[in-house]
Amino acid sequence: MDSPFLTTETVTKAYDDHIAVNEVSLSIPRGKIYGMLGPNGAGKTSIIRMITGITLPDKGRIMFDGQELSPEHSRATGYMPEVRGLYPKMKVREQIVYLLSLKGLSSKDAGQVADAWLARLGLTDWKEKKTNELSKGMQQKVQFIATVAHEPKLLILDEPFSGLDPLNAQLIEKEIYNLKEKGTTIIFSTHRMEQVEELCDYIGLINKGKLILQDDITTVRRNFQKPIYKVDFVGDKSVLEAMPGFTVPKLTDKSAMIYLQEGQNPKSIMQSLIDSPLEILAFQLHMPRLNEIFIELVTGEAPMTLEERLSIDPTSTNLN
Amino acid sequence: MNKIWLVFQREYLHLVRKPSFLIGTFLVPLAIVAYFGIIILSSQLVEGENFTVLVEEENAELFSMLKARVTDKDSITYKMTDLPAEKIKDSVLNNDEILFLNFPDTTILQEKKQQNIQLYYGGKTPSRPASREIERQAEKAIKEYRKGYAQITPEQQKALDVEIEFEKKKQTEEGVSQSNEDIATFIGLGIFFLMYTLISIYGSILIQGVVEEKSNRIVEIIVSSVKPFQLLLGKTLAIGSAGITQFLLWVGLVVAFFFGMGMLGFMPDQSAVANQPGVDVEAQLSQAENIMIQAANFDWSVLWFFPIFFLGGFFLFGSLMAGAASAVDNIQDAQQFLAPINILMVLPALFFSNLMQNPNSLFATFASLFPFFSPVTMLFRMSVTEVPWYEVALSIVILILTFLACIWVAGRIYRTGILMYGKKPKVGELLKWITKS
Repeated sequence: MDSPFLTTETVTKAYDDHIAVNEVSLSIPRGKIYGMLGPNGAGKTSIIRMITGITLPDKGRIMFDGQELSPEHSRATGYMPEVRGLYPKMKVREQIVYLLSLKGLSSKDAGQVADAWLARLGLTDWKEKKTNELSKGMQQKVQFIATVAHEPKLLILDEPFSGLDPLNAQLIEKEIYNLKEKGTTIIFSTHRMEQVEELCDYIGLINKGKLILQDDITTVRRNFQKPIYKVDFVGDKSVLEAMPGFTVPKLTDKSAMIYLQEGQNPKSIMQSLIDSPLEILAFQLHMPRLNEIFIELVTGEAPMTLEERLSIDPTSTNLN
Repeated sequence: MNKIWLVFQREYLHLVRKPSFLIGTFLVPLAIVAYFGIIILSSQLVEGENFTVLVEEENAELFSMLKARVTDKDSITYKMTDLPAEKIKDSVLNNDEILFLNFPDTTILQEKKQQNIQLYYGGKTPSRPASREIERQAEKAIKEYRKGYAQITPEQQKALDVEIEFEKKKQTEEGVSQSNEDIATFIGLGIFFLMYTLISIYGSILIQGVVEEKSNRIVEIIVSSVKPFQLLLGKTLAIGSAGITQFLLWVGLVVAFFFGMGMLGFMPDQSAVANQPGVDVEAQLSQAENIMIQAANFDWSVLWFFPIFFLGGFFLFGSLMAGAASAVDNIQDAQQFLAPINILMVLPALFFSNLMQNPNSLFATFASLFPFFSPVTMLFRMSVTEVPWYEVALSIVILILTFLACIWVAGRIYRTGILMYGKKPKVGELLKWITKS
């Protein structure tokens, strides 16, 4: 594998009385989407502000593509903060051109890429309108264009989908994949786990200013894998409860989660299910959701009971 | 540097394209024209004054010359008096219509080119037309008087010219005070308020910009490309330049207005009258025309300094205000920090009458050097009195040094403040932001 595109080396940042970022060493692989996860207030934004050069770390250093981070790198960085901001009274195209010029594009180049992107996201008719005349969704697209149109090598998206309707979310998601195809390294900060599961190749979990886990997502899942299987069936559900070799932490009329006892082989369990009076429609390994892993890690307590783990709504949006 | 320029361009164009900028550009010249109108009107409301002007016995010769100049339509009569100084004071005090004209000593009258004459009055200030009339007659009388004493050779002709400084002095029980309701005072006052208004308006535009950028969070995007100090500098320079632009437009419009009036024949033509031999120029003109001529004769070069002091004052107050505004989430919270700055700004207005009475006092000199007052006070002093060039230069240097320090302090607060949301910082915290590296 290539050397990581960006690393933070035991970076620490303190504000007045509390330590916002505590010796965090991120390693962001080149050309991948890296999901930075953590509850609100965990220190994600503080880390991002240091990566974007807005603030300086108190301790540690940040390496950007092999060099120590310096103001020149802002040209190669695109940053979309969580709370969006545009000049409300400025015209759409003018605004994009201004933000791109600040990144170092000539006004001619900025104008050209702005036009191309506006056309691509269906905003050509709006480019001479004032920004505050646009719908929220359109403003988000404008913001996105201003973030990516200078073709940054590093793209930092803080909650990029918040406030987007599904259609626009899908559009932006597609563009994020496009950028990744072109080799852009993307840091994706969120507290919404299901988005990370869909998009990210790597994850880093941040809690209370510390990095508590960092790895590629399949490894993380494998490491937290438990012998839980999902069984879809037709028939009398009480049959399942009576069967040996597993417990049934979750059961409905049509499906069940079964937890294999130690030493049990999934193959033989599947066989015995097929041999049972039930008609088995599906038998699949239940991949642990990041929510489950995250909560298990941040609560810092003994692993949750299965009932608890499975009762977590995988689409729940807030970890706090 | 390039980035400061980009910020500058955006801020400047954004501001001057606003409808409010355009409206202000046209409304203020209207107000200036109206201001002149009021000065002219107020000077015309004093018809029908009758004055008796006392002249001391020792100036008997002058007295007869004065008396000879008086015509029937004049509302002024001269009267010789042999009363002692105390008694003269009493009669001036007791009767509004009695004035006292004081000439210099005989030797000075005969030998010196510079002559200082004082007109003392008791209650109500004699109107400008009346005092101008007395001044004119006195000046002519002195010229005539000197001719009588001179051994006139053509070479000495020039030496006979006199330069007369004519002062109006208010007689009070305690003593005498300077009266200064010249046209220059009105203009100085106008400049004072224009400066004050311009700095406040553009200061509040800057505050608004800072708070808006912070509250709609665009600032976080901008400072990921631009250093906070560059952003602050670009903004401040742009808004200051917009202020200068507006000022220049005002001057241009007002000049165009009066020039247009002149073209249309509404303005008095001094030279046309002067060309007729034997005509007392000023006597031929109405009071309104006199005022216009005086205004035209005012040393308008003081306006060259307006942009310097405006920018100085704006950078000084504006940067401090921007620093304060950056530390809070909304304008309301900013008041706590803005209040002391505003007080500093308003103070000169409170002691303004003091400046007017005594534009050359030690206090006035101090006020025009102290950087928080000098932007508004120096130009006033320059309008009404001769300020030595080194005082002006010193005032500008002090102002520049102070605003550089203020911008530095503001920049320190700003770079931390714009990224802080939530609780309002305490003054101690602001100090910490300033001092930390």
